[in-house]
Amino acid sequence: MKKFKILLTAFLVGLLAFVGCDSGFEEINKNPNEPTVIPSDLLTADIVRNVGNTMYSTFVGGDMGSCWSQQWAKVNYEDEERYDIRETMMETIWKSFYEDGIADAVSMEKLAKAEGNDISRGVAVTMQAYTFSLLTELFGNVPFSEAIKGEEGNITPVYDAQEDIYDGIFALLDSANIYLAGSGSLNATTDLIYGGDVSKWQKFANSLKFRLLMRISGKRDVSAELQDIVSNRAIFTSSADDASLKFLTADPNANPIYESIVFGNRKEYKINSVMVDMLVALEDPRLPVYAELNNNDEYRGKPSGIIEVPNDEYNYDNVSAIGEKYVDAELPGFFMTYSELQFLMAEARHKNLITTGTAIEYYNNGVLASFEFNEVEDEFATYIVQPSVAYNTTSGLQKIAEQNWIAMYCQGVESWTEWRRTGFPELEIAIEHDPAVSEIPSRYIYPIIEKSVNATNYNAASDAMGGDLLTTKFWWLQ
Amino acid sequence: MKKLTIFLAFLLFVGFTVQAQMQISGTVTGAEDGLSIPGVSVVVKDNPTIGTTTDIDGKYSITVPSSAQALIFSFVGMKAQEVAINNQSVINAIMEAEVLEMDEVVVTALGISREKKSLGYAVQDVKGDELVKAREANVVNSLSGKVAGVNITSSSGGIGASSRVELRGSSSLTGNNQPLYVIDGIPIDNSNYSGASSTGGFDTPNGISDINADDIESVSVLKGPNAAALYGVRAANGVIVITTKTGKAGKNEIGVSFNSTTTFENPLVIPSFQNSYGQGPSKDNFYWVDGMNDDGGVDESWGPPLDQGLEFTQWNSYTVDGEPLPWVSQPDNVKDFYETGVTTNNNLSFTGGTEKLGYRLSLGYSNQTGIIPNTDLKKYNVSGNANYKFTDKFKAGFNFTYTKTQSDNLPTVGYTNENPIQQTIWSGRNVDFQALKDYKNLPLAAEGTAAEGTPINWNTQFQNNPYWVLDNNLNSLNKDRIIGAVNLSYQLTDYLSISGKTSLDDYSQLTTVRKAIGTNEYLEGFYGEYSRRFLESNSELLLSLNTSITDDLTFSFNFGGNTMYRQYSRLSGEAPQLELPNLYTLANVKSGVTVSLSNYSEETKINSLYGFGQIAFKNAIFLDFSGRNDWASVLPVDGNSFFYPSVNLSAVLTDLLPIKSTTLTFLKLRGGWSKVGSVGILTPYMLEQTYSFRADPYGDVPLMYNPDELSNPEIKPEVKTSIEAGLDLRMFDNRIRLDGTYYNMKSTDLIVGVEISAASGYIYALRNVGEMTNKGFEIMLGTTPIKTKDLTVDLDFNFSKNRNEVTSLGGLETLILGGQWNVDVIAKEGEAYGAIFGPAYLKDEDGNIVHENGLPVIDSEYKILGNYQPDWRGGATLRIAYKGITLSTTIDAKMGGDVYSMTTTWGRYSGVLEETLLGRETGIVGDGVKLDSDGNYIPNDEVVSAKAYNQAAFDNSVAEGSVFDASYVKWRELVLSYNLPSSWLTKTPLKGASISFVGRNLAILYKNAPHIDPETAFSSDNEDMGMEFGQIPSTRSLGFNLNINF
Repeated sequence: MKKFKILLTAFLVGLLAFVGCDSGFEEINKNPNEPTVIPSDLLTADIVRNVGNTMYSTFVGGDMGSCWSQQWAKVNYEDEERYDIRETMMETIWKSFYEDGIADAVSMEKLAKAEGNDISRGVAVTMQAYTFSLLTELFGNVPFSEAIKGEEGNITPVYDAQEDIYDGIFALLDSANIYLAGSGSLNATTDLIYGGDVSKWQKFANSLKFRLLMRISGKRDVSAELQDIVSNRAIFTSSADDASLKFLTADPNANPIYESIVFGNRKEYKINSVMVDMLVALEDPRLPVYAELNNNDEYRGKPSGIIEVPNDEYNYDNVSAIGEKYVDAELPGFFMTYSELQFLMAEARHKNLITTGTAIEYYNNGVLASFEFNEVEDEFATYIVQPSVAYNTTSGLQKIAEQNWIAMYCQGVESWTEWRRTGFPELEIAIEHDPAVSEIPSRYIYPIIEKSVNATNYNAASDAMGGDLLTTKFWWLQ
Repeated sequence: MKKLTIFLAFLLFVGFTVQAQMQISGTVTGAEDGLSIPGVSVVVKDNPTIGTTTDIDGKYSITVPSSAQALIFSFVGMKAQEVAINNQSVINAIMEAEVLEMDEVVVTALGISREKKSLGYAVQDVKGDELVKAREANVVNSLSGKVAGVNITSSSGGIGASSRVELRGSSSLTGNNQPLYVIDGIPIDNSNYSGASSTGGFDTPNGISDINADDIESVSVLKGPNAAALYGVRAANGVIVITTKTGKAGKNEIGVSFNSTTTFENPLVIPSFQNSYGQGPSKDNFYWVDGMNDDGGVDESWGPPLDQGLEFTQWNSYTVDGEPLPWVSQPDNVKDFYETGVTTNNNLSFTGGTEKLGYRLSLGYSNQTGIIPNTDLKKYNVSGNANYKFTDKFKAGFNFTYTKTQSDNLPTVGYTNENPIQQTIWSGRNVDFQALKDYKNLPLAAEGTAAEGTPINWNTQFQNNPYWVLDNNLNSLNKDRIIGAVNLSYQLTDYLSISGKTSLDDYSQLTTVRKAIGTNEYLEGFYGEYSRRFLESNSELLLSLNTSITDDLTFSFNFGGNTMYRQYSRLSGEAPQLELPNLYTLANVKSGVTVSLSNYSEETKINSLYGFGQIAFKNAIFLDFSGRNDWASVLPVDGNSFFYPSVNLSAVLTDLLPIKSTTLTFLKLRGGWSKVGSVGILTPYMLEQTYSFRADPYGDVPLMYNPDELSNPEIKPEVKTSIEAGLDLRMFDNRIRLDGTYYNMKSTDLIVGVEISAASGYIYALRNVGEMTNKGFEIMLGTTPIKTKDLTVDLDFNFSKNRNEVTSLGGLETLILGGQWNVDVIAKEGEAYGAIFGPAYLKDEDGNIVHENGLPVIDSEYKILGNYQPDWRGGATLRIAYKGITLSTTIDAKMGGDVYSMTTTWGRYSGVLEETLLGRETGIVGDGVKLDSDGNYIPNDEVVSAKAYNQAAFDNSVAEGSVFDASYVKWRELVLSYNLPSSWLTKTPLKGASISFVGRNLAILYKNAPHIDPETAFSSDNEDMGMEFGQIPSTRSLGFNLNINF
């Protein structure tokens, strides 16, 4: 018997050694395909590309931006133009901005912090601030203070009041201004905005803060902060500083407007009659750049919201297409331009929120920058002196806003946001609009999925804003 | 670890009792031929743990306790013999063949043969002979209707279609729900990496179809986790154990067997089309310009009446200078589109042995051409095995199978222009598809049309010429696979043996996808190449102990361990647009466009220790127990060890109580409990957050991102706990055989990627949230109404019913498993897994459809419209043997369950189906109600056109009208064989020969779903069940089989 006991013991010991329970398992379950730590600035490209592509998607900035600010109109599939929106788009935007944009920018910040790379951290923080600003300006109250805390276990983030979100974004931009002046480096290849030019990122962070201060300037005295930026911080000084995503020549990395209208053959996107009429009235040389001639060799726009198009009056042939320059594959995806900043400064100076410079000088700079982009700068001198164009103190605010609106052609989200803020140009509601929507929308509605995955916070936010409708007015629109 | 220690201590210190013993030896021969039979099991009656097997000469020698009364000799396919000992030291036994004897030996977990009598759980087996005459390309399909509790769904009649097998229902929400396949003790991979989905792609055969049916000796289905607890983490959905044919040592001769089958396949069901109205938007007129503009661009059949002497300009008017051609119906245009598929199978095998060696070598080749033009599949098999007896105690063996599967083109399925069936539904009923066949001599589609540059089609806007597509847009498959094992065993003492085995399953698979320039959905062409490599090895050691404690109490115990290592890698490249036509390489990418490349590799390890045994009392009460501990590398290191226990008890009452008679031949009760775990959807590397590269870079800039799923370092395995109870009853001298089982299985901690607020930074979070139950019963009833010298009639029935319920989703409202457009297939609390969820008609309180302006109103809330899980399944097999003639036929029924048929949706929308004739001339008054001016519902009386009604009631915005009962009764199999009488063969070298007429899927005897075979899916994956569109028809297969033995 003893022999067998020894034999058995030997067998068992051998078996245990052979099977080895779980030795080496930690090693074998290490992912050989994907790293857990990467240089922070490798994330830059995907962050800016996702945010830019979503903002410039014709189903976002086109249907629910350019069409609502009445730069564009459609001769087919005109539902959104009449404020009958596709609710699934809301989820797409929400996911893109939070999960693909901000979450990755937060990862980038964490990685940069661990690297001790202030520059990269500054870019990451700027992109967080920028994307949060898009979210709050599209939806109103959104998760901010508890956003991107999934890894810490919070999967139901609270929605913050918009006023607090702006304060939070300002704090992010203030820290970005400091980080971007610090030490470190930025991968020039993955920086699809500035190719690694850190000083321009700093200008973008500060110019963006100027924009966002102007957004809430109707609610709060922001003159000291605005003046501080103008006096003490680096801001855009020319169009060379424009923050824009550099697109490539072919799908899927071309401008989404090109990918949809040209590559995807969605020729129903046309110029709006409001834009054509204004350019004609101002004898604006940008008209032939903004629009193509129709089949009658005319520039002809279509008003917003006509049901059952195409019809004899408005169809693919007799409404002017969007100008070739603006459906180009490499049309930059603007995040913010020098031209816009100049118009905002003109407004701030006009309202005496800043005391540096003159409003006319800022205004003329804004128009000139737009002329230069459209390659009609030769005609600037005659254009700017026309009484209908020249800045004056009585109608200055309207002129500033309207010139900004013209200059922001095809910047759907921003042109609609500025229209919501200034009310210029004066727009009529879409003709045969969705009867459930009584005015031009002032925000997007929250994605439906939030009602099931984050219901308590969704309901609280909806209550706090007084509803979750396209026409609900968030804080700075109240 | 504590459990394990106790376990080991138990094993080490169990006492052995030694008694007075005597030696008996003898020879076992067959009654038929008088030849000795090796491998016969010889055990002591009432003490089956004392036993041995006969050697190659049929000789045995056994030491038995002096108290032993009798020896029992048993062998697969032979009648067990009981011989009283009466102090004889030499006992010779003569074995008689017993084909239908129920006291059979079945192969159970770890390949261990067990007397069925002693099992405490349900196991059902199918003999290899039943698989090789009326053949299925995918061998698992042959089990349909033959085994209770097995739910097999063959996805389509397309070549290479996969099949989904579920034993006792679905038990995982998102993970694999199919069983583990084990061949000769080697777990084999059943993945197929099918790209098929509701929106396109092509299906590929499951891993199991690489197995050649000619090599199979038997298939045992171990249905519940009780039976499968021994395979641990991988066997939570049951196990299908396949034993292959082997050569037997001892007979110094070679047997040669040749088996050949040729069958012809034709569609079993094609939709019922209308033949009265042709292409076009309205009845007035038809005018074809270029297939894109005017009426020719309308791919619907609401056009002018056919066969009324009308003439219109049509797509083929180019043959008559654009002049009008007669507007006539083409009633067989779809039927004629399908070709007759031909399948040939040839297999040659050599079986033989010498004194110490047994071997078998088998060569197989099968060639299939499909009913869809230009689709094919070839399979080459080489397999062999050998076992060698070095000494009486030391044996060794090996086996291997090499399979090459190759196809030049597998058909595309789902809603896509690439699926040729699509243009029989979005179609003109006047179209003669045959006239499109000679596409090389047809003009090209007009400039400016979507099909520009490709041969003309009856429409050029939505579809390319279908024959051109089938010849140019090819989906190829090439797979090479080797499965093999080496095993050794050593008999240490009479009651102790040790064995070891190491096995390998290794394959590489290359699939390619070609889309020619000009293809409607790929105007610039496309080429993709996908290469996969899989390797799994298992090494196992097992120590077995058989002893008796007292005369009435015997004990057997096995203890062992296994280490599994798996490696999988994939490399894929895609040229999203092509520069040059007809050149399919990754280098031929359009300028300015980037080739998209990606690769992936993973490794997994599972280590296991297990023990199992049986205590038998009076060879009539059996207590089986098992315990297995797995360590799985995909789980968190702190929680990667889990233990699966099982216990089963069975009692053969006819042996225990004085109730045995010729009326009550046998009665056994059994019951058991088990727990088994599963890793669900967990794959390697899901515990840690990592950064990924996007497949397409930004020009030359890599795009890295943080993935959208929040990993869970604390994830636990899924757990399945099950109880089962059953009885085994045989009456009237085994003429009636009843086997019934009830089971109740609960799955908990189911792993789900739960959708969370994107504002958290992630879209999904991996959680253990779900719970599901499966309850049901299985009944097998075998009868032998007639048994005479020349005539035997057997009639076997099986029946199974499973009730599945999703009992918890952890607060999640619904979990979407799959879907097609606006229809989702979901899991929802309180419902069975696989509910069909979609838009319904608005109804009044009495359930009448509400109409507005004569058209049905769509409810804004989605409703549960059905469920793909059947209520019950059953089968019946009749076998008549009269002298040399054998007739065998099987009927297979699946009752209940639903299918969403988009063929009906679009077939009615487009006006091609028979039922769209209703009201074409008179209009339709929809059956239902409408609101009157006072806001009350009154019967609907508004007349609308047939087109308006069909397009409102059948559209992707409403699913209710297209959800059908998926019940069917199929005449699954027919085999009529004639065995040549041996008297004819005596002067030839032949030992036996038979010729058979064979048929599979001969007819659908009953169904409720119109136009389609309700047994359908896009692939065998969870997400592709319960939906249908443009189904490649299942096929009726008829042919001949020839079997010759030398």
